Amino acid sequence: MLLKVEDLRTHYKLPDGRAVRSVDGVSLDVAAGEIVAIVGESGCGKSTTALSILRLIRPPGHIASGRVVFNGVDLIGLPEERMRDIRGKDIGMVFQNPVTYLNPVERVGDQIAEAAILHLGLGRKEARAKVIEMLGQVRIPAPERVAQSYPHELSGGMNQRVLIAIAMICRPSLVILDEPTTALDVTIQREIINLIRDLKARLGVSMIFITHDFGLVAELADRVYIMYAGCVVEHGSVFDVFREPLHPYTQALLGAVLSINEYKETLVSIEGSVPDLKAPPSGCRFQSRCPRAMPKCAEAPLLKEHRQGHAAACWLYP
Amino acid sequence: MEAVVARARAVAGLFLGDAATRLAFGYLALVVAVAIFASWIAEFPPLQTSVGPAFARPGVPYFMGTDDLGRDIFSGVVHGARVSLGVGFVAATASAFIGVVMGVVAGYFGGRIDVALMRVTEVFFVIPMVFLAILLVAFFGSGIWNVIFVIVILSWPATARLVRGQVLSLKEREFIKAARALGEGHAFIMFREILPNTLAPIIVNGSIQMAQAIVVEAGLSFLGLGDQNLTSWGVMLFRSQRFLMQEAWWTFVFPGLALFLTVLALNVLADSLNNILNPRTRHRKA
Amino acid sequence: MAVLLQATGLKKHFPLKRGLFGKSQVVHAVDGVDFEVAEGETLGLVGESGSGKSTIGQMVVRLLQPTSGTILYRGRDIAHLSPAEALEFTREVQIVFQDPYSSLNPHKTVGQTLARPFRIHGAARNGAEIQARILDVLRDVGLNEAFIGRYPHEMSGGERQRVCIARAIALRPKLVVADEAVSSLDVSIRAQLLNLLKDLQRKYSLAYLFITHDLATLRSVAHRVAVLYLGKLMEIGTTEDVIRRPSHPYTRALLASVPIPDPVAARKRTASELGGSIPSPVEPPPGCRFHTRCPEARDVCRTDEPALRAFGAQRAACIPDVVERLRAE
Repeated sequence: MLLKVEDLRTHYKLPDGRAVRSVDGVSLDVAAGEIVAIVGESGCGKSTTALSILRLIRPPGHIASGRVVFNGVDLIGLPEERMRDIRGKDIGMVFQNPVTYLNPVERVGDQIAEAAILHLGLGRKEARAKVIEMLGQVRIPAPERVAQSYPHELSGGMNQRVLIAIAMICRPSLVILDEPTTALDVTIQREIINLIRDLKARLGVSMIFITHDFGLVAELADRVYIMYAGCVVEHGSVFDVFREPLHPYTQALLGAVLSINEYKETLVSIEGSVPDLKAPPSGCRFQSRCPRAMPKCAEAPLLKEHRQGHAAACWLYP
Repeated sequence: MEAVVARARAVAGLFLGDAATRLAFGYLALVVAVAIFASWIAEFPPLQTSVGPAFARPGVPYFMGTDDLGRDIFSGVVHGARVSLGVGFVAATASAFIGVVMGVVAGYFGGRIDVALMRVTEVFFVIPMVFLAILLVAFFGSGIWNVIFVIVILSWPATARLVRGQVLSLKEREFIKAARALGEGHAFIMFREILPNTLAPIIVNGSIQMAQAIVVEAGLSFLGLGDQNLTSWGVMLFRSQRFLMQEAWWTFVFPGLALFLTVLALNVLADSLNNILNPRTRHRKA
Repeated sequence: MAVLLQATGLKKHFPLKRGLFGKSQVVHAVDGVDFEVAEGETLGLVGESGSGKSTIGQMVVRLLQPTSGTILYRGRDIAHLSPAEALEFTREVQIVFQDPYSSLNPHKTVGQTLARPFRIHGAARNGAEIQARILDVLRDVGLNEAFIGRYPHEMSGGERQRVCIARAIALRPKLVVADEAVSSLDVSIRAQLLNLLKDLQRKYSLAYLFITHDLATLRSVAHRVAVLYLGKLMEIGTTEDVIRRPSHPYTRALLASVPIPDPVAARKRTASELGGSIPSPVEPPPGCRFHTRCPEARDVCRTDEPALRAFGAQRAACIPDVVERLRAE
């Protein structure tokens, strides 16, 4: 297993002393060469999970407990300098708004080279060659010209490719992509989807893909984790989860998803709203909105494998 | 209603939360009280000469001493609060009023009105304020209302520019577009939809302008251009100039201290108002 | 069905200032678009960034004035309305925006916001009547009296958007422009609001001009779809026709780009991509706007702009034999 997250808990302290339990006991695995999607609605803790893996949680947030074992090493206990070396070198990151992560006054070629010089100890010349090669890998036409450009001279799709190039230049074994296509147009999104598939196939890199869009999950993921209110409620192979969703939350979400291939007269919707994470209800977090809630739900269900590799945290599957 | 009470309580908590703000607020409350009840607090009319010996040292009964004509310094400082705060308050309010109206109209309608306003304010920005104030007071005469008038003339453009900037960004917000689509009139949109959203910076700016007005009035008075028929802190400083080199330190230290602390407190207040009024309740992302 | 709104040759150009010495340029946001909306129907306007879809929406509600072209509402040109007619128009044509956070005045309670339509239009005689009407409209959008005293920051995104819809339908308009009205919401909330919009349509025979970048949403919402690219109409037709038999290469590419929430189907199809990026609307390509990215482009496309022609019940702006071939596939 390349990455093993065990019982991760990340809390945000409020001024009044209480804590928001954004991530509340998340466990997940990423095997070599697979794309794992973490899906959920806003506030479910998916992005916080990703940031916790990279130990990028800033105060008032902190990782309260848990283990993040990457290549056999627990990242939670590592000194910050070691962690800095791992970020960017062994684990790459791609975020939603490429432009905000690029320096507007530095040529993109230099920004990509920076990581190679820092982590791989390359000289200027070698780094340059590597940058051009990397820009080719992310299928940017005319890499020499693009390397000389500033971010504002490139389109959103191009900038996202540049960000992917930065994440990939040190050939990390894991890349975390947080909503990488949300800010892009549909036809540009398609190009990035194809690029991600292609990079996985050619370079065998593992990815954690954070998204709220089930369309993207279906297109890209090998396995998927569904999060609700800080917890994983279901996980399994993308085919199993879409064909036979176990958890009522997953079922409702998939019922609410729209597809171009299907006209839906009335959409499935989930009534009510997400519980307050300052004082989450005891027992199943979804019980107040669940159409199939029962007395047993007052007790928190554990994630249990229902079938080989397909687990849900629900009392319907004892 | 509960929401309003809770909000008021939260604001009060923030407001009195830090020591500097508490001190500034307390001091200003004291000065305002002194200004209002000046006639009761001061033992003597401020301009009455020979209430005591000339240059009496601070002590009993003139606990801030007396000046060359035997006027009571304490009575002067107390009455000075009334004039200085009055000038500051009236000037800041009038300047805010004009600045807000001009800024809202220019920002909202844009076009030629906006260009004209911007040119006018630029003119004011390149000429040093005190210099212009001196010229104008010298020209119009140094009655207190002239001084206020000059301060207002010189300070509204800053407010207008501030408000205009706010309005420019607010008018692109969708709730303004929604109001227009609903058939809402221009006046309503400007003053009932946009204005409440710019109040925070206007209030902050107002307290700074009040401090500035007090300083300008004092400056003019110190140069002998103040209203000699009234006792402001600036006028007292002007009179005590001549004793600067002499032993009578009390003639300028007490009015000077009152002035300094008031201006400082207003600035501290502006600073904390800025902190209290600006950060909106933001929703944290996942 | 009677035509409610008809746009003809609609154009909107925004001047672009480029410093003191730069030459003045123009953003061709909308550059000659025709469409109509019938009573009670939903016309979907779909396009990527720079397509001009939001600009069209704002022209329809008179927030922007067209540079040229006309919009007729019930046969009346909305560019020339007397103040009284303009007020009457706002009663019948309303808009809901994308961002529920900036669509409500942060200093006003829901009650204050919702009272405005009734006050402006004198639709209620007194305070009590206004309160009653506010309650009605809140119930219409699935909220209740508990929301009257709330400020926007005390509500969730979905609740705010319900309030925005309530404001828009308060005076029982005939047409509502929904400008990406559900795009920023979570999946489950989006479903609630789409159901609500459909219910309101049935209940009040509302027509929607539904502006979105998301074809998957349109499939379940719109009766007809207009596909825009760089300020021009590429294709227009019933939703079924456009999705089943896309008649323009751009529509085709757009459809092929949309992710399918079904892993089996998603992996089966060949995901062709367009390549290139959307040109700037400041200097749109000559000829067909789409030729720089079009897999079917020919020499003639670089110089001649294709007209919108009818193919079956659809209309598409492309070379007839390309369209015939695409439709045959």
